[in-house]
Amino acid sequence: MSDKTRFWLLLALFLISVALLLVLNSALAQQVLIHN
Amino acid sequence: MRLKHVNNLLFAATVLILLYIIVAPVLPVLTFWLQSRTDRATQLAAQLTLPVSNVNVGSGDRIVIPAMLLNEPINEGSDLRALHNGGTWRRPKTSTPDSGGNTVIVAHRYTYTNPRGTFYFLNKIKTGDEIGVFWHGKRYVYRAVSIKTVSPDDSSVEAPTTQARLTLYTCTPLWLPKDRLVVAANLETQP
Repeated sequence: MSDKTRFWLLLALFLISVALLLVLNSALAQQVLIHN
Repeated sequence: MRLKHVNNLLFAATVLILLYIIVAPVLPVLTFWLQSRTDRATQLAAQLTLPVSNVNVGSGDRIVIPAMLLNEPINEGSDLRALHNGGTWRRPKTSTPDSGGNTVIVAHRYTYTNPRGTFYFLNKIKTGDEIGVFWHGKRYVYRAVSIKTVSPDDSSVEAPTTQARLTLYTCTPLWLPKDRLVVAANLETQP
């Protein structure tokens, strides 16, 4: 695998992990109230 | 060569983020264990029995729960933004300690931006434990009488009560917070 291919793959993994962290955090932050 | 260096950095950053996602939710257990080996619980319990003039819990309205090693501000506000800077939030349509009735205070159990959510250890409270609320310069001491898990649409926990009551709740379980952990406490001593 060339360095360029590896770069795009790692960049995609990095962005996915950041997105996962943000989504999880947002979901947890909303889970506190009792809804009427 | 330079791209290889960038690749190494990207790989390290990705691993760190994934490790944080996995490990961060359990780190508060370690900090609680370390704090529980100090006399913090005793110090907090003393704040509930000392003469009010000698109490030193911090400024403003606060909630003190020795069983949770907790001493946090009580925020006012109309929505969840009241919790953005941590602390707890008194639900605006519920009572206040000086008015009797049902005072409802909520807080986050866990978020990645605030790993030790204020009510992370709400499950440490047992019936009979004391909960102190310092409200407008006066101290109200409650005793936990019930701990239960309810669904997120069970609004009965926020309903008005005839007797002075404190209701605390947060989400549960920790990893998949689909329910609410509710602690109800009756007023034991008032100013």
